[in-house]
Amino acid sequence: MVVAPREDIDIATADALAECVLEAVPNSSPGAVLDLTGVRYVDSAGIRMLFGLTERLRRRRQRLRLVVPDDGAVRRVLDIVGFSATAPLDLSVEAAVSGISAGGTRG
Amino acid sequence: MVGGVSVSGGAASARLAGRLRDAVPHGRGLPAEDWDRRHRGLVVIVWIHALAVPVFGLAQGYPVAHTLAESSVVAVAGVVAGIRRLGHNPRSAAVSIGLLSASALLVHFSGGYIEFHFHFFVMIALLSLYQHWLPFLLAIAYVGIHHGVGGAVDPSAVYNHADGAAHPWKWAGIHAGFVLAAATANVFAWRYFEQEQARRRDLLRVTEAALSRLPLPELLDEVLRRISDVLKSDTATISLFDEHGRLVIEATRGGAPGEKGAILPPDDAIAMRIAQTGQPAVIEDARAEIVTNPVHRERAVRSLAGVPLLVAGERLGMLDVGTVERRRFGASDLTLLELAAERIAPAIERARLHERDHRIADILQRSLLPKSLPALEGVSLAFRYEPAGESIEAGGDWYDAFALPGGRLGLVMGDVVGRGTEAASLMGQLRTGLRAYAMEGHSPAEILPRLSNLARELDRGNMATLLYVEVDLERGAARYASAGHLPPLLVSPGGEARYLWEGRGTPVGSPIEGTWSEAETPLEPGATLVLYTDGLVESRIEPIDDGFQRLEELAGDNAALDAEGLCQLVIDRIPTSTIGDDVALMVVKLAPELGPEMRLEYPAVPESAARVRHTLERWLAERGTAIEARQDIVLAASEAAANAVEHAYGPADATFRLVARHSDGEIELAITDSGSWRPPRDDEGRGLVFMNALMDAVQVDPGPAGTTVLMRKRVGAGTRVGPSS
Repeated sequence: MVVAPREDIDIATADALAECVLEAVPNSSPGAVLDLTGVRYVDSAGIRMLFGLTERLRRRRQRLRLVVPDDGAVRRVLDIVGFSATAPLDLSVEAAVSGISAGGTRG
Repeated sequence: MVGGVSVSGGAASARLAGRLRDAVPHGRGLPAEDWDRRHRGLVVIVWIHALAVPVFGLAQGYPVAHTLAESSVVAVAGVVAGIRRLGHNPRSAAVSIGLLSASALLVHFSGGYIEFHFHFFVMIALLSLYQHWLPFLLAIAYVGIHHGVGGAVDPSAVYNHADGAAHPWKWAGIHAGFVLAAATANVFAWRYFEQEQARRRDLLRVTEAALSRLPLPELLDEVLRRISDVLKSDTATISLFDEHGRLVIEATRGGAPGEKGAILPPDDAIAMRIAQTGQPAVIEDARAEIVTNPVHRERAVRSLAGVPLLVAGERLGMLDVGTVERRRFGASDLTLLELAAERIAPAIERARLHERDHRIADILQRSLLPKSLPALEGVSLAFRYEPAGESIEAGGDWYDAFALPGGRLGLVMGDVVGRGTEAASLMGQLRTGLRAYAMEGHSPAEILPRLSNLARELDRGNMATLLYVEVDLERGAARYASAGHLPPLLVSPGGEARYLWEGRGTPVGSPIEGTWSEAETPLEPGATLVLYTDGLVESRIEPIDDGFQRLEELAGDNAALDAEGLCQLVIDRIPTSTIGDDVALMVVKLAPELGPEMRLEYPAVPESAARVRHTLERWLAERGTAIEARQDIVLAASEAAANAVEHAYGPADATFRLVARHSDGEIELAITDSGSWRPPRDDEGRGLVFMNALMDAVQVDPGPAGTTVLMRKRVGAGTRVGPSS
């Protein structure tokens, strides 16, 4: 299951996005891919949401992987908070999907 | 109450007089054609008598001179009756005198034989063919006078019995009496004939085929006018079922004009009966029934008759008439109502179908126009769609505007050839296709050939012109490509206007192999783009060059207006005489330059964080800040804004302020809220961590009126980029 938001993830949109992902991902799926290629900014509310979402999926025995381009504000913020220690960051949707299918996490 | 009695007595006698007038034939005469035909026949009969009477006289042994002299009266009458330039009255009087003279002569020549008196009765019957009083009364008078005078002078010429000879006036009276009785019998026949004739005329009046050529409202009013005229009703009403199954007054006569559109309560007796049975219904005394129809209530209607309006068995509504006086509506009244209903029901159905068709195309087209345009920082949009005045079908004009990744804005203005649902559906397909191709990242010149293929696949033979403009707000530039559409107008902040004639190509969906290209133009802050369809500049009476010039001057002279103001002005200034086509218009205006210092205020709501980011991004781009530094500053400001939103308390309309300054190679931001910071929670702490990580210096200053976050970051000397350098 790949979710690709196009809006910034901030104080106004973060919670709705989390609900959207949790609803969209069926219980039978091994995990979810959040494709942030089209997102320009993720603020601290967005980071809080990503941590929370990872945790909630983990409780459902599901994994979250993020697709984040190598450059840009999103990668920078995720690097600042060290998010890759929580969920793997991939450069492409294909890599993220195969990462989930392989069942491997680096976290 | 003497006055009251005398008034009602007067009314009663007037009613009686009216009823008598109704019972007696009106004798207004026949249509000219009928009168001519009957008169000709009667004149022939006069001439037959003019020949037969003298023959009979001679056969009876009367002298030739005597016979001819007396018979000449009949011939003279025949001559007079044949003089065309005399009017109907003298000629019918001549026939009357001629025929009765013939009777008198036959009686006379027979020697007063009573059997020859039968001839009088035949003549009376013949004279009733005129359906006019004059020949009739003349005949009765003739019999009385002839019998009396003749009987007195020469009894044997009139009567063949002794008593007749002895009392000629008594027997004249008796004869005239019988003639009168015969005449009366004829009068009734004549009256019935007249009524039947009037009935036919009435039916013709309410069912006249020409009525159906009237527009529906006029048709309904005219039919109601004729029905109340013919049935002498005080009210006449047409009510139709609306989409919720309620009866709504559609047209009324005798009621107040404001009652049109009134909804009938469902318990109205006559409405209920007609609705339930689908059959005509009559109420003789409405006082004993529930009357909720406002027209009937207001006029205190006593008697009612109504029929359903049916088309192919489907009930559209009802037609009813009412009288203030009590009255028993009969079968013939209902027949007339039913015939009128048959005339108007199909017209109503037709009008409704046409309206529905039109509405579908209209809704379809309007649903394809964007309800709101994307709210992007640094650009304002305004749009108008003005359907042509007398248009009965939705036109093929459309426009669209949507945000694209990377701070870009897609603008579309198009015109599908043709009108109606077909044009609207192609429009919808092009709109969706264009958005999809644009979202996939295709450039304008790549989008048009794809759209053209799509249009040819989907809709053989239908073409569209369209203009696609992609505005890059960060770079301050527009790329555009036109598929045979009119060029956009670019207006500089200073008011120089020019049409962008480059990037032209073939209309999409055209059967020939098309070619397309694109062009790019810088857009400086404050610049305006005007997109439109041909209805704005082209008309039957104004050459297109005049239209171009008018728009160019208008937009150039009013470059200072905002998008909404210019859009309205352009629409207002379309010469009314040229409106013959739909007009779609879109005005896109880039925000003016922000300058080295910016002071802004935002409502303390979560959505403001995004607005802060967008404004700062544009400002930083305008200041020439490198992309990495830009992202850091924007995110730090966004965090500070989010904090200000979270800390807002007190009045619901709390705000926070942002001051951004660029000086000496340094960006300085101050964000002030109206609250005081509580000890930071975890994630708020993370916000502060962000700010510290992203900026060179962060300082939180909890002042008495609110908390201020002051942040600095060096961006180097900064080189301005973009078109306005």
